[in-house]
This record gives sequence, structure tokens and C-alpha cells, in this order.
Amino acid sequence: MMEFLSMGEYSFFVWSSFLISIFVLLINYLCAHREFISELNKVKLNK
Amino acid sequence: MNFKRIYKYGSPPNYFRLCLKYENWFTVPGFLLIVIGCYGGLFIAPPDYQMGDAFRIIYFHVPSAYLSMSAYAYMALAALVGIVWRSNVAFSVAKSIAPFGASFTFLALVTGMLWGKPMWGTAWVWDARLTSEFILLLLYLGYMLLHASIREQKKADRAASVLAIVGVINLPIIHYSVVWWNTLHQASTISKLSSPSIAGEMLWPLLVMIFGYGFFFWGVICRSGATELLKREKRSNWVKEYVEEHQS
Amino acid sequence: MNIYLKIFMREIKVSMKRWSDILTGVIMFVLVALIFPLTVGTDQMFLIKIIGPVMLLSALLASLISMQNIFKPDFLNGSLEQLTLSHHSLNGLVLMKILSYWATSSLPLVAVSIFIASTYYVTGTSLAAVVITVLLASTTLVNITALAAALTLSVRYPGALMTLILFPLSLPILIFGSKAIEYSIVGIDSSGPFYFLTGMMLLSFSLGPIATAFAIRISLD
Repeated sequence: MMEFLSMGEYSFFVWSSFLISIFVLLINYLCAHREFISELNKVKLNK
Repeated sequence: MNFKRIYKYGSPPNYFRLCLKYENWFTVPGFLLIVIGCYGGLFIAPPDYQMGDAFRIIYFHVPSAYLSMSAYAYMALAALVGIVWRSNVAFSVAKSIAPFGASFTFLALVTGMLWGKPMWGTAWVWDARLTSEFILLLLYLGYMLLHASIREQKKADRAASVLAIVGVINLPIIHYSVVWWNTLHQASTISKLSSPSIAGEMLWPLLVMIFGYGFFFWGVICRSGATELLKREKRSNWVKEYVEEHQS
Repeated sequence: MNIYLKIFMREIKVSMKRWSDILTGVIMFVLVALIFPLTVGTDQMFLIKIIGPVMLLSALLASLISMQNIFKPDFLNGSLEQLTLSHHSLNGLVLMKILSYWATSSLPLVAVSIFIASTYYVTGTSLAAVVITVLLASTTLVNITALAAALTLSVRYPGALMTLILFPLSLPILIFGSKAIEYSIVGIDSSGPFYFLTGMMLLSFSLGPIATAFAIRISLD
């Protein structure tokens, strides 16, 4: 398990690129959804 | 081929409903494929002979780089469709692709630097691919900034679309001029990133990740394009009908 | 035929009235080229190495100064709209505008580049190569500048946006122009980069005015 987490001696590089990729993908998804919901609410409020 | 069935999606209400209906068909498989690809890449694939475990960054770097370039092509295509057919739908798709394409380019650059540091000893090399990727980020930012700087919606759309189209023509020129500039200066010791001679167990997670990123991208664009369309057509009847249907 | 000549002469006359802008561009060129020996060091080997990029970068930065003068004044006083509405082809009229802009802003730079290049210890045929490179590169850069100016016509304070549009599009010119100068200084056969620069000049003169005219039409309506 420790061997897996350390990834050879490149743990910092591999895990940080993994984390930053997942982070950016999640941010994209969540931002898209939040924008949609806020836009829909704006339209509803104006009615 | 029945073109009528495709043409009707050029109108905003049809496109809007289509996007919202099929968004999850893209996002959920994309998410699953990414999870499977991560598992395959981080657990199952054996460590590389030369690079050790650090080669696993390829599973995050290659899909984002590939997607960043294809997203720019899609953006330019949508821009062209918007200019030629004066389509609000196409312009909203182009505008919504830009920030996501820019974030994928940023990811490609960052993961590339994280891969380069242990591999080549330096975070950055003035290789043709890296320089072209960096310029691609600037092109995305230029598109977004130009769109944001012009007040009127229609003018901003069309001006930014001209920029996108000129950029897509210029991108191969930039790439080949940097190739030419680079090869006569230093012998390129960087192996090609997408070598076909890659072992099977290492290849399938890569393909899965590429498809996963692609599906995820299309899902996010569905949602974001729908948002943009909603913003533009706030006052139209179909929006009112949609809101009445979904009073929740 | 007559109308294009008239437009060209009119633009030349108008630019002559704004001679201070031309002078500012030239001064900017000289200042940027001056910074490198002053700050980095006056080693001859080093200066000869960087003369190519310095020439082209200075030309690029000098064009940023006078960029807005191509279309903005005419846009503001309404004559651009009249040109668009006339029955003459806007592509041709824009081409004449671009040519006159090139004549008034880039030719002085070419003249000054001889002086700057000799301060960078460039002599003989390399000096001729520098002049020809600046001449050729400036033609393409002028077209790209005009396109960026037309795109940002409806923006009130474009500022860095022009740079952001200009820089990626002009990158091939900078690369190949620097190569051309470097090769002719070192003594290798430099015809490759010169062919590329000429090719880009022809490409930009044929497609540039069309894209610029389209961008003008976008900004006008």
C-alpha cells in the first residue's frame, strides 16, 4: 500500500497531477451546473 | 439522410431541450470512463521501464492536451457556423466551449510541467508541442477577453468568431514554425508523447481516459451551452414555456 | 482604379498630419532596441545573436503605439461608414488603407533599423539582410495589426487586448524573421526563412484585407 502511495519516488508529481486534474474537472462540472441553476432562477424571478 | 431532423436543432428551444435531455448520457459515461481509466492507469498498468511510475501522468496529460486542441477546433467550427448562418445556437456553443477549452489547456500545461520535472530535470522545454500549447492558451484567453470587452452581444459574437477562425488557421502555422525553429537549434531528446509502440496494458487506460474526458467535455458543454442560450433568449416565449413547465 | 489611388493619397496626407504618432513609433522602436545593450551588456557576440529578435520585437511594439490610428479616427468621424456604404469594394479600400499605413509607419522603421543594426555590430551583407527582413516582416505584421485594430474597433479602451490578439498571430513571423537575420549573420544559406517571409507576406496581403473588411463590417453595424 505504501509502495502504491509512493509511486516509485515520484509520489508528489503523480498524485498532484491526479488531484489537480480531478479538481479542475469537478470545478468545471460544478460551475456549469451552478451557472445553469442561477440563470434559471434569474429568469424565474423576472417573471 | 433526413436533414430536416438535424435542421430543427438549429432553433434555440429544440437545441435547449436536446441538450438538457442528453446531458447525462454524456456526463455519466464520461465520469465512469474516467474512474475506470484512473484505476487502470494508477493500479493496473505496470511501471514503465525507463520512466518508472512517473509515466502515469500520461493518463492525465494526454487526454487534456488532445481535448484542448480538439475543443479549439470545435470552437472555430461553431464560430464559422455562427457567422455563416447567423445562428445564436452556434455562437452560444462557441462561447461556452472557450473557458472549458482554456481549462483543459491549463491542465495539459500543468501536468506536462509536473511530468517534465522528474523526467527531463526541467519543468519547461521550448519544444514545438509545448510552445504551441502555450500559444493555444493565449488564443483561448484572447477569444474570451475580446468577447467580454465588446458591449453589444451580436458584435462581440461575430468579432470573437473572426478571431477564433483566424486562430485556427494560424495554429498549424505556429506549430510548424516552432518545429522548424526548434529542430535546427537543439537535437530533440524528448520522445514523442503518443508513441504507437506502447504496451497493451498501458494503452487501454489511456484510450479509456481519452474517451472519458471527451464524453465529460461534451456533457459539460451541453449544460453550459444551454445556460448561454438561456442568457441570450431570456425574453422569448419558449423560455417562458420552459419555466412554466419546470416550476419546481 | 482611381478611387483606390485617391484613398491611398488621402491616407498618406492624413498620416502626414499625424506625424507625431509616426515619430512616437520610431522612438519606441529605438528605445526598445536600446534597452538590450544598456541592460544586458555590450558584448559583441551577444548583441549579434539577439539582433534578429530585437528588430522584430521592437517593430511589433512600435506598431502597438500607432495601431489605433488605422481605423479609429475614421470610425469616430463616420468616414469609415461612408467607405463601407459606397459601391466600391471594401476589401480594396481596406487594402489601400493598409498599404498607406505600411508606407507611413514601417518604412521609417526600416530606415532606422539600418542605424540600430550597425550599433549592434552588424555589417556588410548582413545589414542588407536585416533591412530586407524588417521590410518583409513588417508587411505581414501590418496586416495582422490592421486585423487586430478592426476587431477591437468597438472596444473603447482596448489596451492589452490588442497585444493578446496580435502576439500569437505574429509568432511565425517573429520566428522566421529572427532565423533569417541569424543565418545571414552566421553565413549559412538563409533563403528558406526569406521564402517563408515572402510567402507569409503574399498570404497576408491576399487574405488580410478580406478578414479586416469583414471585421470592420461587424464593428459598424
